This record gives sequence, structure tokens and C-alpha cells, in this order.
Amino acid sequence: MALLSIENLKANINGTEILHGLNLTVNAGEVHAIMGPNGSGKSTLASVLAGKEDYEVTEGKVEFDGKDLLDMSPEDRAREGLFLAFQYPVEIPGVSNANFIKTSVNEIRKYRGIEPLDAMDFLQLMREKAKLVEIEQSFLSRSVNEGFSGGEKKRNEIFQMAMLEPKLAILDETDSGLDIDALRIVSGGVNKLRNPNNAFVVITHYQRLLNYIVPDFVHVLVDGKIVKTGGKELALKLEEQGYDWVKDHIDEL
Amino acid sequence: MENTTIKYDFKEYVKSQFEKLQSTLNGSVGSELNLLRKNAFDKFFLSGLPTLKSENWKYTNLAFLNKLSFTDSYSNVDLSKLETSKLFYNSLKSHKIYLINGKLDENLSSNFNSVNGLKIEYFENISINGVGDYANYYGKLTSMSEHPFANINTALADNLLVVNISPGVIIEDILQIININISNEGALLTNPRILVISGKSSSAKIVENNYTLGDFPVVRNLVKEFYLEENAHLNYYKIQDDSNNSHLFDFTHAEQKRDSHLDEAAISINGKFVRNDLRSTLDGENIESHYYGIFIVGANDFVDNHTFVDHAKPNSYSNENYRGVAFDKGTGVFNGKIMVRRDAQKTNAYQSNKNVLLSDSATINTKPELEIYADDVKCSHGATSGSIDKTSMFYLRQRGIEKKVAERLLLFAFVNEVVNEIKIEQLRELIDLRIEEKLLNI
Repeated sequence: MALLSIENLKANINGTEILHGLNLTVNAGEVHAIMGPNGSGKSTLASVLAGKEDYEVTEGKVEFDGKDLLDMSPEDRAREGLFLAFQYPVEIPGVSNANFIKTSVNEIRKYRGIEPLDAMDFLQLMREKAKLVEIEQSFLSRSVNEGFSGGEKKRNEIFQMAMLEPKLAILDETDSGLDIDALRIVSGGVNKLRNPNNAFVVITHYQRLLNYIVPDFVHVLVDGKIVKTGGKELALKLEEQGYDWVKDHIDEL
Repeated sequence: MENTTIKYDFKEYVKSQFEKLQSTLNGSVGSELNLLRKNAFDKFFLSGLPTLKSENWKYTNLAFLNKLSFTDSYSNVDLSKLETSKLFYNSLKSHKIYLINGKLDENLSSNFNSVNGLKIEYFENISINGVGDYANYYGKLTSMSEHPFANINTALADNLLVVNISPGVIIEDILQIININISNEGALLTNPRILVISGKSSSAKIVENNYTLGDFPVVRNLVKEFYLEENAHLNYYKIQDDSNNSHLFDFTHAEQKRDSHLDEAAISINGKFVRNDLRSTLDGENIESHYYGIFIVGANDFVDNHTFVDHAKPNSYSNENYRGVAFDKGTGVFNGKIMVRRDAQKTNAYQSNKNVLLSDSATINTKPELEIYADDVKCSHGATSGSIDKTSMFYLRQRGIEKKVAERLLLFAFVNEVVNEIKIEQLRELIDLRIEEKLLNI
């Protein structure tokens, strides 16, 4: 059974349809890259899957681990194991990173009927995962993303992902704007978390990321639909030829 | 024992109390203090209770005062059932002063002889006995006579608590003033009166707590006069976390001399009705006034903060930061006036009031008022009222956090930014516990 299966997904925002019948299947153990020009619907797909209320789904079906994803609240989707690394992580003044992640971890554990982590175990876990994305202890006591640099925000997303160990992680342009050091740290974190039981959907604008996170499949999203799917070599071709090449060849594909 | 429950309107009730007091005075009727009292009463009685038509009371409905049946005998209070250990903020490490229905309780209060440079003085039957050396301070701030409830207090207050911090003294320990009101047999009006004198270059931290005990509604009409002499530092934190039948009028006026520094906070967590009038006269250079406030108001409750910062001289600084959360049918009001007089060049005056509304039936009224007559000043004000930020909510929920929990987390952080300005760690912790509890009801 597929971990994620999307069939004919149509979604709009404020009455404008962005996704025009999208199909995608992701199995455990796989990494899928979704590439596409600006405005093609990449971030909309991420938002719809995570349950952002601004979007309205008008048609189609999404199953996540055998359950109807679209029927769930955003928090239940997260508790079922879906994680979105935000393109623009939100600043939350007055809530410390540590308190935020502790609340998050324990809310998810509660949903799954597991005892909450006590303070000691939590600290231990936090230290271990913080190393993964090379973040310092002081970072954890700061307010969530407040005053963080772009790179720090993205590392924080990957840190949270490491803490929550989702079944499916959607990385929404996590690489955009990162310098090469931050990119190495972020992708290194992802690679260490890859295993046969989880999967990643990596949304990106740039082929560069895929040198670090090597995908099993590359999908090209144009105008709200996946128009081409291939292996990692497709990303290279896109980088060379640009998206116009795909658009020009849609009819033949 | 008297046992009369009176049911006229509030104004008549005040009159009856005033006349009753006057009838006990005999030869002291003409004392200076009693003249002050009479003037205050006349002023109140002439104009009566303010209505929604008067500018300073347009959001403050006082109709409840005419619905309460006030008891006439509140001196006989049974204290045997009072367990001070059960008062929530009593665990705060502090020297304690207990005012029970406005009267000092010496048995409960700490012994202050041991605190060097701190004089706690208490005057009873002040119409007859006067207020000693404090006559130069008592009721001398003109704003008093312009305010209806300050006038009621001056007309009826018969006891005075003085906290006098000697010049040059730094009081390390925290002083806690505990206002307890108990009525055994009907609604109660009390008029506690507090005078704080911060001597030159002194420093002190005072925490005020308000508790209404018993089953009957209480109207606590509290008046405080602060005098901060040159270079004095005073931190005064009032905690308004009272029972559901408490009604509080708090009138505080601080007169500040040069180089003095006031930190005032109003932490309104629970209570049926709160009206705070806070004002500072910045009568010198290099003065700082910081006003902080939070309120979390639900049910049918009401919290109103009226502030007035009066910059009279150059080179001073004032800053106001108030944050409110209104839910259910709760109402919050903020009215902040900043006056910068012609001489007060190089004034820095800032004001911020941010509010979160959680239901359609909750109300926030916020209004900044700036009157600036000097031309070289920096003033800013900002007021916002809105719902919880949707983007933040989505972010938290995407991390598996239940909607309600996420809301509470964001609200807690929102008000806590102001709580963090309180310079007593243990007090912050106690306040945080109560805020968390209160937010559970949202």
C-alpha cells in the first residue's frame, strides 16, 4: 500500500483553481522531488496536504497511510505522521523553541496513546537531534524563529522534523536562499533521517538541492498538474533546458 | 449588632455614609481634613455618578452600583475563618500588610520594626485624629478632586495607610499590601487609602493583592497617592485577581520629582469589574514612568485602564505597554492620554495597546489621546485589536498541537511579554500559573 496516494486533486484559493487534477503516489522509503516554475502550484500542493484552511479542495482523493487525509484537521494530519517544513517558517514571539517542541512532541504522543516525555528524556532527545542539524543549546531557549536568519529558520524546521520523526515529510523550498554551508547541513540532516519506513517529498526550484538529497523520482509540475516524471537525471535536464522545454514538449509526453 | 440592608441608589448610599460619619465628629467637624472631606463629598454629590455620556466613562457602565444592596455594618467581620495560607499570592516571599475592609490588621501583618528605613504608619479616624506630618501629602494632588470615585474615597475614607521609605534606603525585601474585603451580610463598599512616599534616592518594590471573600459583592474604591522624591525608584505591581463578585475602582496618582523612576503594573486576571485610573505627573527632568498592564477578561466581566501621563518638564521618558485578551462577553477598555506641556521639550513618550478578541460578543475599546504642546518631542502610540494570527495557528497545528492548546500557547506568549517586565521572578511565576489556569476557560 502506498504511503501517500493523490488522485485527481483539484484545489482553489479564493475561487481561483490552482491544482487542476493532480496525481501522485509515494511509497515508504522513497524520495520524490517536485520541480516546477513559479506559480505552478508547488506550494499550494504542500499547503493542501497539510490542511491549510485558505484552500478549498473541490475534487479528488488523498489517502495517507490508508486514511482519508482531507477529512482530518491539520493537527491530526501531523499526528498521523505528516510533516511540512515551511517555506516561510513562522516567528512566534514569547514561545521558546524548547517549549514549542515539547508541546508538539507530547501532543503527538498523547494522540498515539504514549506517555508524555519527562523533562530529562526530552532534554536528552533534544540534545541528540540538535546535533544533527548543528544547532546550539542557546537556540532552543530562544523564541520560535524570532530574529533567526534564513538559514537558522530552515535548520529549525529540519530539527523539528528530526524530533517528530514523521512518516512523510514535505519540504517546501527548504533550500531556497540557503548558502552552501546551510544547504549541506539541512540536506545532511534529511539524509540521516531517511529510512525504509519514511518518505520525503522535496519541493524545489533548483536542481542544486538534488545533488545533496538524491531523489528516486523527479516530477515536473506545470499549471497545477504533474506533466512529467522521471529519475534524478530529469532534474539535470530541466536545469539545462529550463521549464520551457517541458512546456514545449507537454503534448509529446 | 446592626443589620440593615439599604436599598437606595448609590449616590444616596454614599450620602448616608457620609452623614453617618459626620454625625460622629462633634468638635472635629471643622478640621482641615474634614473640610477636604466635605469638599470631596459636595463635588461628588453635585455631579453624581458619571454616565456613559461623560467622555472618561463612555465605555464604563456603572448601572450595577445602583443594583447592589449595600450593608451598613461592615466593621464587625468574623476573621476566624480567614486562612491566609489559602490566599494564592501569599506564598510570595514578602513582608505583608493586611488591610481588612480598609483597616490595618496588626495581628496578621508583619512586624516592620526590623526593616531599616521603612516606616509603615497607620492612622485611624482621621477626621478626628488627623494624619500627622502627612497632611502635606494627603489629598494634595489636584487630580483627586476631579475624579468621582477619588472624591467618594476622600469623603468616606477614615483610615490611612502610609508606606514611607526613608531617603537613601534600598529595601531589598518585597512589601506586599493585601487588601481583603469580607462582607457577611450584603454588598459592601470600602474605601482603602494608601500613601506611598519614596524618599530621595530610595528604592522599593511593592506588590498589591486584592481578595474579596464571602458570598456578597464588594465594591473596593481604592485610592493611592505616590510621591517619588528626587532619584527615587518605586516598583508597584497591583494584582487584580479577585473573586467573581469583586468590583474594583483603583485611582492612583504618582507625583514624580527629577531623576525618579516608577514602574507600575496592573495585572487583571479575574474579577467582575475593574476600573483603573493611573496617572503620573512628571514634574522634573530625567524622569522615567513605565506603565504595564495585562487583562484577560471573559464571562460578562469588565476591565478598564485609563492612564494619563503628564510631562511637565523637559527630558523625561514614559512608556506604556498594555495587552488584553477578551473572550465570551468580556469587555476591555484602554484609554491612554499623554500630555506634553510647552516646557517639556525632548520628551520621549511611548504607548502601545494590543488586544486579542476571541469571540464576536467580546468587546475592546481602545483610544490613545495625545496632547502635545512642545515642538521637540518623540511620541508614538499604537493600538491593535484582532483575532489570533492565523499563520501562527496553522504552524502550531501542523506540529500536531490541538487547536485549543495552540490558542492558549499563543495567548500566553502574547500576555507574557508584558508579565516579563515585572522584576520579581517569584511573582512572575505565580502570575503565569494563574494565567495558564484562566486561559483553560477560554
